[in-house]
Amino acid sequence: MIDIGYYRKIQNAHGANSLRDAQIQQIKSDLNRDFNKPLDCESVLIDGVEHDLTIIETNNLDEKKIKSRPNDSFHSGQIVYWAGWYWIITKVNRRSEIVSNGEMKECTCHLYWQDNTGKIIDKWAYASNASSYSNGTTGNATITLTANQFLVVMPKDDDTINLEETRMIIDNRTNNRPTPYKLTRPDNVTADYGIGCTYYIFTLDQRNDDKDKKVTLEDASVVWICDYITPTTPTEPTTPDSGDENLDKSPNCCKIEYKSLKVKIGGSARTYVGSYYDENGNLSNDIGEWIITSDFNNKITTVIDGNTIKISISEDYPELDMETFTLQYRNTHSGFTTSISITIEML
Amino acid sequence: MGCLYDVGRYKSRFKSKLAHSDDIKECLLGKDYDEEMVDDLLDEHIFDYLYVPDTQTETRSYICFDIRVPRVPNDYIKNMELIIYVFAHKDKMKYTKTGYIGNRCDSLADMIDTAIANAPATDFGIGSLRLSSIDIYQVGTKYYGRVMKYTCSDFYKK
Repeated sequence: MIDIGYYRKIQNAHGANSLRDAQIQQIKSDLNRDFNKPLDCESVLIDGVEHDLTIIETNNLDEKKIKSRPNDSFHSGQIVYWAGWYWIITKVNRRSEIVSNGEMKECTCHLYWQDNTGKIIDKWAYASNASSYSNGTTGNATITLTANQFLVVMPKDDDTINLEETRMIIDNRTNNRPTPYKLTRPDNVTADYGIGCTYYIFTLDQRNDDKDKKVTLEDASVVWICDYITPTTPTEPTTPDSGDENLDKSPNCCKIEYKSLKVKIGGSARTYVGSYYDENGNLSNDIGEWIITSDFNNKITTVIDGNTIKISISEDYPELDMETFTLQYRNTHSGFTTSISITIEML
Repeated sequence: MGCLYDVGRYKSRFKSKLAHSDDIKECLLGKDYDEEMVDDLLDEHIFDYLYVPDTQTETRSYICFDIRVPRVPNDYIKNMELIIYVFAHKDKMKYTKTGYIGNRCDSLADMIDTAIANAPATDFGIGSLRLSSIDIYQVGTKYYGRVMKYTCSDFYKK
């Protein structure tokens, strides 16, 4: 009996339902095979995860066109680490049937600010002169002072989407009395693709010697933070508990309930439930944030439903046997966190 | 990777197929099994080698399997054979479940065949696994079951 699956497979046409599908698969296969051959193929980190990209020069040295491998992808707002520097993906072609392609710009600044709990947030960003634009507050300016405002492009995420009139030092390399800028005009509309970049106009602002502080970070780097506030909540992990009923319900702490600290490769999903007890020891209804820290986040399958996360590892990744990763639960309002270490095992 | 890398890979994938079949889990563990701990519970019932139970205090059902490479016809292809042993204690042989006919081993063998048939063709070899034979199997005097053999071809090296 003829096994059609055999013939399709040896022709790289497995799963194809039409001649077009088969041709696309052939093109993808050829591209994938030869992807590393051109000189402009580079190994990069996209949001900390290793990928291969074809990086093509443009007329502007600070702007590159990029293409992914077939069956790989990226989206706008992601940060690429390449050539010893950071780049932000600003445009992505939605036509990605064969490969993803887009553009990235060279980041010009590393911005630091604090959220309302005092936690220091940092983002790589691309800033360009925006002196010819309205700053969003003074109306029809007829005379614009040069270099007094910048368009800043940052990844769109929970940290950046809700910024309001935040003051920042855009050039942190100036250590002595740098100039602060204030967010005066947010633009989350013209380039809103669901995910992507935020576009903010920052305008020159008055220095405040009492509130603008020089802060030493954990990695010993020194940065300026505008309107510095002392963190009001600790960020040290509280002791994780197993999932029994005798949970310690101390005030102001996060818990992760679980039945096993092991996830099996190809096995069923493990469930972890996060909770936060407020300052009165009452269980909060807040929906927290889950953060997985590992070198292989792209191989971990997660399904998040409220404060519950289900984690599984596909059978396609046997190389993860005996690896560990950290699962962190964070209450976004209070800043309290807790974390557990999970081991991956063969089924 | 070596040409025998597929032996371990087939085992891992096949065990995963078994672990994701609700019917097989129910047949091995009963109806009220803890879904969260099912992988650990299945470790007492599913073995990727020919396990022969010693004296048992519980009457259980087992699935054991292994991979053979019976023939390498040329430099490009190797033949793979998946051998599955399904056996249960004679005291637990009676089993009824909607959609299946026969004793516990008959039903379990049918469930395994369904799990294999539902697997994507890309999981095992070129094309898909093909049932080549079913025979009866006896372990000692108290366990009885079936041995099923599936074959497929795969590329010699990847």
